Amino acid sequence: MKKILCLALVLYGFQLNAQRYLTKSGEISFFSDAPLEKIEAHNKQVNCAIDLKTGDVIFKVLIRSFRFERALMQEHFNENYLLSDKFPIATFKGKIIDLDNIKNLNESPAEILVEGVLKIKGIEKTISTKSLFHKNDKSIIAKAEFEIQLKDFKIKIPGAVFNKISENILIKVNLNLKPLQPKIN
Amino acid sequence: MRLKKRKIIFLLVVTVVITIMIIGLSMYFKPHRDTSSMRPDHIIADSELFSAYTNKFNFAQENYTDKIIELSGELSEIEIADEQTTLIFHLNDGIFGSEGIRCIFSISSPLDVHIGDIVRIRGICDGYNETDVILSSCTLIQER
Repeated sequence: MKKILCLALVLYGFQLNAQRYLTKSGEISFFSDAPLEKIEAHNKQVNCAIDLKTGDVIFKVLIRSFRFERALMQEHFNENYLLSDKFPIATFKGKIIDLDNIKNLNESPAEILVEGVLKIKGIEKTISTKSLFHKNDKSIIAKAEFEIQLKDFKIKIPGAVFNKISENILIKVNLNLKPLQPKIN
Repeated sequence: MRLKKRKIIFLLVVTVVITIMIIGLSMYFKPHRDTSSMRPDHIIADSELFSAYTNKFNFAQENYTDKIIELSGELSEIEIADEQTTLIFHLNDGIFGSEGIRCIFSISSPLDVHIGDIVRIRGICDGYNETDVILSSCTLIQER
């Protein structure tokens, strides 16, 4: 009887985990296209988890993991604009709105609406974006693009670099999410 | 005499302007830190660094974040993705699987290390993302 119960619990664990997908090496890039300078930065250590049953989506992004072409830009980004010592992580907590579509994913990309709250520098802003999801073997591949405005997160551009940093920042997200492996002791 | 004085002032101004330009350009184009040639700020075991971020976050954030860390520990996992290799030390089990320290190397060619090896890595500590401590721009110091 105990063996049957243990087996049932393990199988239940498999079922629960099969609905959760995760990556710790997602990529988020941002692009600023100002009249005098184009700036881009990439972070390839993004944590993201999605739950296909509930539609919950969560991102955790370490601000210091953004890499710039120039060291000075990276320094200014962390110390003057994002204050990464005080606010080391940006988060996004949201929901997949089209749950039926995400449950029936196949190899053709499906456009799925994701809504949630983006928190940068301790300031929250509701974001809604259509994202492309598809299945590749056992993984879920997700891509999204959206724009944010620096003023929404109280990021001020000094007058001296006004023509070098755009007020609107394009964000690109690329994820390869794997099913969460159940742990069996 | 007056002409000579003007020449000296002109030369001084030119020197100051050129110096400011050189300093400005060298700051603008200064390279990223090279962990292979820099002295570490801290030499620490994997479990000690992870424990500091999970148990004494403020202390760790102040002392280790953005510092050059030389880390040693037993390698648990190797991830190779496009243009980067990640050496991973598992130190805890969380809701989303194993947690620990992820060391990022900006190369896609395999490093000559194996799971279970005791390795020493030098990198810049980016901080803790609530599951893992991230070390970036890493260099392999020694394999045993």
